Amino acid sequence: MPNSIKIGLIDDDSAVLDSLSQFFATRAVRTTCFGAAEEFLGALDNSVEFDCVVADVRMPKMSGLDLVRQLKAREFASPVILITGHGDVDMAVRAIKDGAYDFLEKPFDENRLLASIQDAVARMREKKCADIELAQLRSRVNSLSPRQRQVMELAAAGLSSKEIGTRLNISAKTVENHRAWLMERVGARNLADLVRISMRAQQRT
Amino acid sequence: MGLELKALRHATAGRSSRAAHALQRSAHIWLVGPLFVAAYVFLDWISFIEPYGDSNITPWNPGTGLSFALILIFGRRMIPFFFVARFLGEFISGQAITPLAITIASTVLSSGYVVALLFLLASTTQFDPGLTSMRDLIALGLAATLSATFMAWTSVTTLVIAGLLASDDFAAATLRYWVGEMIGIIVITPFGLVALARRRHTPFLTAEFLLQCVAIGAALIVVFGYSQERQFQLFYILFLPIVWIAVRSGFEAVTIGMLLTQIGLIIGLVLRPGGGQDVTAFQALMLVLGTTGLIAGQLVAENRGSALKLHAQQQSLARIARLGSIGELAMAIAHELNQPLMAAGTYTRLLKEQVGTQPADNAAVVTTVEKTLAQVERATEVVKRLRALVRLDRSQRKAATVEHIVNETLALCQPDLDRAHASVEVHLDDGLPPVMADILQVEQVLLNLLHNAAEAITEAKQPHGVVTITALAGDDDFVEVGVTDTGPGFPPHLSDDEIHPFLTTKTEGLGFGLPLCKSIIEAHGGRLWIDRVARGASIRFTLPVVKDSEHA
Repeated sequence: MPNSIKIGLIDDDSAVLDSLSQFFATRAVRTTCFGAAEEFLGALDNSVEFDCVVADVRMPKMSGLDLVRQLKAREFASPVILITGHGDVDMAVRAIKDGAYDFLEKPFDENRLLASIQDAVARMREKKCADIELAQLRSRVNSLSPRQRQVMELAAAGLSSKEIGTRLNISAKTVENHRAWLMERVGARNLADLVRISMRAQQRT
Repeated sequence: MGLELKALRHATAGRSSRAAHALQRSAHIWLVGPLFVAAYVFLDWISFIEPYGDSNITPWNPGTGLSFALILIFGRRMIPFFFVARFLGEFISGQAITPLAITIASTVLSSGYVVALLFLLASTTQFDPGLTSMRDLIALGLAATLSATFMAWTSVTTLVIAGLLASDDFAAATLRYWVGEMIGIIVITPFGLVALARRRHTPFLTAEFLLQCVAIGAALIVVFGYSQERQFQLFYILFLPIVWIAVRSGFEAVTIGMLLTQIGLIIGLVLRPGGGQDVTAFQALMLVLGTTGLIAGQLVAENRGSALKLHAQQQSLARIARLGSIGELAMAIAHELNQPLMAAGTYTRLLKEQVGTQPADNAAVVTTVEKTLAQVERATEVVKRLRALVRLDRSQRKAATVEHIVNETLALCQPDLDRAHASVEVHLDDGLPPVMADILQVEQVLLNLLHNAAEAITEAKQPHGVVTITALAGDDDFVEVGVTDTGPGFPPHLSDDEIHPFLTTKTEGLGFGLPLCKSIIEAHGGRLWIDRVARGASIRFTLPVVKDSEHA
């Protein structure tokens, strides 16, 4: 199921955990409940993966805000949504600044939380797809020989085969061969495609 | 809070006497005793100026002050050394003119001082040698005055009988003797006691104190630098540095300042000797100066002490709600209530979906309903616990006067009222009976009402708001207290039954204050209600009067 979402739900209040997980069950969101932020970090250490994390702010040991900071330090990629029984503007601003995706005050409509989770996960997945695409593109460009890369860069800069041949001190015919080969290699259908791919490969992530 | 105050009292009262006891234990009497005798004889010899006629009556006798200080610190064991010192002092300074019999008689008469010192040392007197309270200072002054009067009268009488003094000189000689002894006690004893009996000294060696010492020197130069006729007129200049020290640097610094002034005075008098009578007149002025300085210094010290106590009380009052201020309490309650509300809301919406599906899963519906109810129960429990929080422990209740409660609360609330630029009018009926109340809780109620009044006046932007506190003896053994302000007042539709949480007329706040006040007053058996007045807001509440059976 590519669209199913797996979340980690952290709250020291068992009633909140139970009611929300029951609701998520009806919405095809797979929920793993944790009574404390430390337990959740333990699961991460055992390389359990989550698409999204929902955490309470006010918890006995590690607070939700502390958790957000910890996850940022660990370079945890999935979005974190904070929920709180009593919050103020200051707390919300701090949470967002520290990297939380959203901040909800209890009592809230769980559909609002669901929408936020779906939004967060969709954005994260989009970004992930883009990252994968870029990585593939780069590996294809990297598989070219040094001469082929030179030809690609000059072609993308708008030089004709003859001009490239003169500059690289090879025949126009050889340039033509290289061009045909490398365009197939990087999946470019025409010159415009080649220009685009060349630019993206040079881009920083 | 009772505990804290007690501890505070103990700390201040116990400090110096404990230090004195430690000194008593550690110092060896056979070392201190002879040292005392030597110091006494030396002081007697060095202070032997301006003797009266043929007698050895001098206008200042520091030895007596030293004796007082050392005996009060080291106790009864020093008394034999005192007699030895008196004898030797008299013997050496007066050997040329005084027959041995007179010296012995004079030594025996010193018992007058011993009686006064034994009175101060008696445990029932509860005299603190560190002079930590005005009471100690007055006890010392009284003992010194009475014993010095006795000593002056008997000693001069002896001299007259012995034919060493003319009977015409009796009055003048007695006065000089008395002043000389008193000045010794007033200047030396407090200095010695404070230096030796106090364990912790308040830091007085500040730049300001050095400046004050310079001022003493300057005043002395002015007094003696001018022509002799003006010395008396200028004496009052010496009051200025002493009063400055008393007000700014404390009691300990006053004792040092006085010692410096006295030494300067004696040096000045020796360098520019006037008539003998002048010296006594000077010393009489010095006596007034010393008494003023000591009393002013002690008053300032006590004032600071009570400010400290007030601060401690203020802190414990703030802690009374166990969760800090009412505002913090409200935040905590909001959090506690939001959790079950959140869960109950989610369950109910799930229930709606469960009932809507065809066919409905009855078992699942029942489970969800039960879970919802559990959350509602939980919210109810939170409210119950809140009530328990303000339910009063009856043992904390005792007889108290409304005046006391009002005054203490006003002292705490003054900053709020000042900020609102509100003036306070207090109208308490005469002869109000004492009420049975947990003072801190009722103060919390009054504090909250005054705080509300100040806020209302601030929000209405009134430049000259007035808060009125009234108390009158109501019917049925109750005292009725009212707090009225000139603010915008309560909305007309509000009735007394509506004093419940979350009802608020403020732009900020959750409306917990008044309901909490109501709960506290009702727990006392009283009533709290909104009084309908033409202008502003008025809250009235009643407190039960102490019944005769409760007096014991």
